[in-house]
Amino acid sequence: MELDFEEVLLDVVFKLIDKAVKTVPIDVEKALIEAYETETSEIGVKMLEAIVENIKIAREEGGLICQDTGIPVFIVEEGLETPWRIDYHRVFTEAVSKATVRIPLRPNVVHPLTRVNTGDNTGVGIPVLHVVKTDGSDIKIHFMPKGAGSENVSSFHMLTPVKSVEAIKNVILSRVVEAGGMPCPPTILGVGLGGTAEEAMLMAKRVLLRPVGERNANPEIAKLESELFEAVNKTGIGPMGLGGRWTCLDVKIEYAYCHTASLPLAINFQCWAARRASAIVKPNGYYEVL
Amino acid sequence: MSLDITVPVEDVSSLRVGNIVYITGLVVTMRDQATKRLIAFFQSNVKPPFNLYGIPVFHCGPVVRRIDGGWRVEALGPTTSMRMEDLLESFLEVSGVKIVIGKGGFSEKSTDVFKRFKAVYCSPPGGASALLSKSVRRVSEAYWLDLGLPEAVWILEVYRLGPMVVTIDSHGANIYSMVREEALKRVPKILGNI
Repeated sequence: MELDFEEVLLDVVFKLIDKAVKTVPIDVEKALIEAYETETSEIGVKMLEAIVENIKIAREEGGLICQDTGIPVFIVEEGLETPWRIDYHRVFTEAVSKATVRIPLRPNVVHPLTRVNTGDNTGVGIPVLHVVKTDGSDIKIHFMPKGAGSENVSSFHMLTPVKSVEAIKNVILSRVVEAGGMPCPPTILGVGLGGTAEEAMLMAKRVLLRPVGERNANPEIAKLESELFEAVNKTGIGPMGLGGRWTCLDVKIEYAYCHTASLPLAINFQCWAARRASAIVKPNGYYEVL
Repeated sequence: MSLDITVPVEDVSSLRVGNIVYITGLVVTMRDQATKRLIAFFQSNVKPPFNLYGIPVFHCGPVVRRIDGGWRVEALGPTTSMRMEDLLESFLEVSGVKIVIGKGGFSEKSTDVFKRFKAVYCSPPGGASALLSKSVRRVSEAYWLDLGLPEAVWILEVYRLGPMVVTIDSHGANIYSMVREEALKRVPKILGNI
């Protein structure tokens, strides 16, 4: 029988969505448990206790981690040698629409002006899709349901190159304080440094796929990640913005070179419910949900 | 201190910031669009189709599923209240609501609004919908479905909805602005040390 590769992808994507909205990745859960065990503020402990309990209930009973099942964001790494030609937008749209009814997801997608809801989490430009080419013949699909609480406080800044590191730290700390409890801290901060305006924000989003605790391979960037992680947790914003030690679980930076006259900086907040799921699909249709 | 609140509740002056509360009885969900519409109803002297007397208003867009003849809540939790900040004063004034439930808080300018209308703001942990939805007994009624499912008004019967922290009380205290103010003072010191 001939392989219906699109059917395989539909199946994979449905599973990714189902997994992502009902669980948090193990690295995130570990970090939240550590935060719960080491938080010093009484209210902070209460919030983290409920968060950890919530993850457990969702896992045991198959419930949703958060009622904001987000806006669907897909990042695809397509092997240059794949024999398949895929219209990802069409396949993902169908999968999201089905998942909205079957799981169910909250229908979040509306027209930006009329605010009329499409009812199935799809619409012009949605699901959001980014495709990059990589080596090999596998297709790697990443799914991130992005909640509005954290997305709404994300920001982009064109900094002055002469100030560089101090300015970067200042802007990030100021944004964290301004955002307060809105992005559901403890958050994960995705930072895009360099590139161009649009590339910086894409990097800030994409870097959220990397596990909590993993440092950038570049030692200078890794050092900045560690320094920012400590600095953000000294602000005292705390769990849910109610004060305490844990304001963020991690700070992750992806960087690109930039124009000699520019220093683009993008910040994409991720809530504690940092849901993501990935899968690798082989050319023969075999796949693995990671 | 952990407190149980039974709806309807008219006087919230005994609640203080930092109290942990659980709510039992009816709550009404409302977000941006429903809040806007409710205010418009009152401003044109039209009574809204549901009663808000003594009932907490929950900034929340639940995940619901149609079941024979009704609805079931699959997940619910607080949404960011700051989006409704510009509507807060008119909302409290026309509705008479005394308990607002949501996440993320309001800015310092709203502290006085809560004080003036003798109302409080309570915050459950954001995103903890698997935990919070356990408290939903049933969907009592649904209104304004034309706004879309998340923005519609859901009247829910809940049992011990919580935990929630009283984060803005009717005496002029606001945990969010206290925390933010402290953090703003710390930032220059943190920057000086790294």
